Amino acid sequence: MSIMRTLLLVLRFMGVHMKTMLLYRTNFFVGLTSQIIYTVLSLSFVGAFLAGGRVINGWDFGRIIFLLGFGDVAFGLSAIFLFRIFVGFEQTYIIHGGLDKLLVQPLCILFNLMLRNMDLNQGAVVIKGIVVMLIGAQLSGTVWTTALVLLVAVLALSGAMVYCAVYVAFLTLGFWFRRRNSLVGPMLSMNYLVQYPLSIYPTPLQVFLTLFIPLGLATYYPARAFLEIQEDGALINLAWWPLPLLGLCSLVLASVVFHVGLRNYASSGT
Amino acid sequence: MTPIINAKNLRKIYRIKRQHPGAWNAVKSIFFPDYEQRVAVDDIDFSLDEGCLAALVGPNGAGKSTLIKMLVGVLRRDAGDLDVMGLDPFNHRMRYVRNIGVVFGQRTNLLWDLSVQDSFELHRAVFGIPRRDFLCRLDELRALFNLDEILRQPARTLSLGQTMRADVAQVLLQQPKILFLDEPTIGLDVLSVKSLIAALRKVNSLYATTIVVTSHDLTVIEELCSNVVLLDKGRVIFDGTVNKAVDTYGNYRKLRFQFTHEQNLAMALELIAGAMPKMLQRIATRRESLELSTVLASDDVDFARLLELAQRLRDESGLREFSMEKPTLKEVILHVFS
Amino acid sequence: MSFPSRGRFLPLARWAGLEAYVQAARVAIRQAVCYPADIFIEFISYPFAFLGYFFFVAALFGSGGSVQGYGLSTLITYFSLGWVLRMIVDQRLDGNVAALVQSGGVVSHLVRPVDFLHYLFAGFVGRGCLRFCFYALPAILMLTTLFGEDISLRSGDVGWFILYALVAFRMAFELQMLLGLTAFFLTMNHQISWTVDMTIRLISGLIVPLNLFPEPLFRILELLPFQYLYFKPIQVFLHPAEIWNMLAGLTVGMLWTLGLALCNRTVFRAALRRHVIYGS
Repeated sequence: MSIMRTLLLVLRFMGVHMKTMLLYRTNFFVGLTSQIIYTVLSLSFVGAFLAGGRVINGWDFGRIIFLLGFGDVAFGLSAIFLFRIFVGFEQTYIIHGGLDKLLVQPLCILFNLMLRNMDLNQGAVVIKGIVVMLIGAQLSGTVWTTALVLLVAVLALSGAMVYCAVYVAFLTLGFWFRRRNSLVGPMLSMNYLVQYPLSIYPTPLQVFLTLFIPLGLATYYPARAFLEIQEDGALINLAWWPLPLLGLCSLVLASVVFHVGLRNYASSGT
Repeated sequence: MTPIINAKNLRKIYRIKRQHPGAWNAVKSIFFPDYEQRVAVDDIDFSLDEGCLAALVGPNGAGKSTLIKMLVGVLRRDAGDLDVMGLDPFNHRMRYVRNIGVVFGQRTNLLWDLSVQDSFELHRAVFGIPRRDFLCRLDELRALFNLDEILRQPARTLSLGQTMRADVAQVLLQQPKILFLDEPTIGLDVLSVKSLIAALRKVNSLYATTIVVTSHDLTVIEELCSNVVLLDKGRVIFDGTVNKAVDTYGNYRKLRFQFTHEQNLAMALELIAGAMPKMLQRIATRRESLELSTVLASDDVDFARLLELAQRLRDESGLREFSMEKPTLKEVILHVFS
Repeated sequence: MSFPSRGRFLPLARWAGLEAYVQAARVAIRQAVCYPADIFIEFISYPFAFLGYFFFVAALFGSGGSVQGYGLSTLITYFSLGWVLRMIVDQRLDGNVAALVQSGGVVSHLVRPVDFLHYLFAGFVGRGCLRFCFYALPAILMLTTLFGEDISLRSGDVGWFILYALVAFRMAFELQMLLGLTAFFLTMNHQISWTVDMTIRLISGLIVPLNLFPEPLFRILELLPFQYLYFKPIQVFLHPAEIWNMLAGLTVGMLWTLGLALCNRTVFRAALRRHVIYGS
């Protein structure tokens, strides 16, 4: 499918979603409030302990805030497309057979799913993340050049791709396990873990968050690369350029797994 | 027979917040809400005797649900007096509820994941039923409602019919004086309905339990109930026995003529037009079943002329069968509310 | 007969008029136990949520240092106690009550001769016991494995801690109940629930010891009841004061809880008077 057509489709769906959002204005403001409170919660903890110039493994208050904001941006970007599906895939599509309706449409299923379930409210998370990130950058004394802006954008996108990959892979479990739904809770709780530099965790946990559920690749490694922090005793020290590649690869891999699962589902005639 | 339920000048008005479009109006309605009044139950009087099998009947929005919720003590009345077994249902709720059993048709009281037996045990504890009475009563109910097969199964594995049986049996454990059933037959198949009705009749005759039912299924009312209260737009149109209802409103007769061939129908119509033209006004023709049917006010039925007409139709028009019926309660109700 | 006598203490409960509630608690436990997978999965989400706090302070104060008297050992103990308490009381009762209200299921409770609020508390207690066994104990095991040498438990303080914790338990119930009852008057949904929960987590001292907040904020928070959920019980354990002091604090906590309970009762009664209970 041509890029032009893809873009037009995305815009059209966005329009539809925006109209619905206007009808449910209160939801948006409630969502915004809850996001703000979430950030206040995170900042309070970090602030209470890092106030007065304390540093953890080379991360000071400003840098940790940058990490927080960056994580929000990466999560938010992926959440716009995947949050709703992530939470409700089985219910809508498998149990009630909504997937069959999509299978008879001339569009890639995953793409179709994402378009139909866009949650523009998550845009608030992205905006909030950017604000927090800028504050963090300011506090750490970053001087913004065009190159740095581009770098942070690329890194954020690669982070978002890793998040997308994780959620799509998780979704695929829904083809085989009906009660996967309750795992949504723990998955979302993991976001609490990656709010901090992974170097504070014992090695097994770091490996888990880098290789198995690679949320670290979405938040910590990019942020660290951007801020150019060298940590002795961290698991690996990645430069910035492998990250977009890893993001792209993981997304491709996840899509492949999804389509395998889909083919399995479709051919078993559920 | 003493009245066990006494309602006088009962009123219930719902205040529904009116919504106006637009953001400014939405904000305004938080501080200055605009209410619309809907009268659900409008100044009604009625009474039911102890031991009767009563039905509350009416179209949607007639006030049945509201009325039964007031009777059960869940909804507060806005005006009037309500006396059930000497208690005010809403204000004396805790005391009152010990003596009644309530089953809401679309909502089960059984524990979803645990066995029916476990639900019954919890119910026993909640209602403070002494163990000996409980076991004795359970034995009786097991036979009546055929519970042996389902006692050890969790509610989520039961069919709708089984769930309803278990629900009704459960609320009979505390030996209530009155049993209230709100739409008990929704979703049930014909056999389940029949067995439920049979069980309820037995309960009524064995324990003299007063049974009050609301239902859309008029067949249930017909086969189960001795008393009927007809409600429309929050008012009581009729309150009395089923026979009296049929007599009062069933003042008509249904005539059916069945023929051997389709060609006969046209000829029959001509004959009828000649002999009893008034009947032609409301005659219905059914080609597939080869029949003509009509409804006549029973005062208008001239038997002599009718029999003469039937004779002629048989001789000249291939009449195979002729019947005249009194309407059933179901037809009466439909007639009243149409 | 197919109904064996259940439980040795039921006769006692019957005598006290509490049989219905004891059964309610037992049923709540048995219903939860029907889905062991769900229990395990819910358990996992807690360490994910709280381990970050532990490792953060461990990395920060690992080689010494403290903030306003809170050193590594104190902080690890603080968070351990706090999260163990949380696992027991975080039952999302507000969501269940709201769902009950919105679906009209409250009606089923009203046609039973039991007090609605007491009945729900009985369930809360039952589930609390379950959570203690299946969530709190494994969590304690995990935390002692990870941070064993940093957790300090002095036996003399356990009594007061338990008293304060009981008050916290009841207060948590009343707060969740209050939030759930608002479903009678306003729309209540998962998002709002989560927002309120987060706020309470912050201002009750679960995330950060309240006296680490800036002074003016701390003064305000001391006037609110939420400190009795986590901050006060943990403080009583870590820094026991004179008996009269702790007794006074306990009394204030009990008064707050009583106030909330009365509030809930009033709200419920008002809701019954004024509102249409949905259903058919």
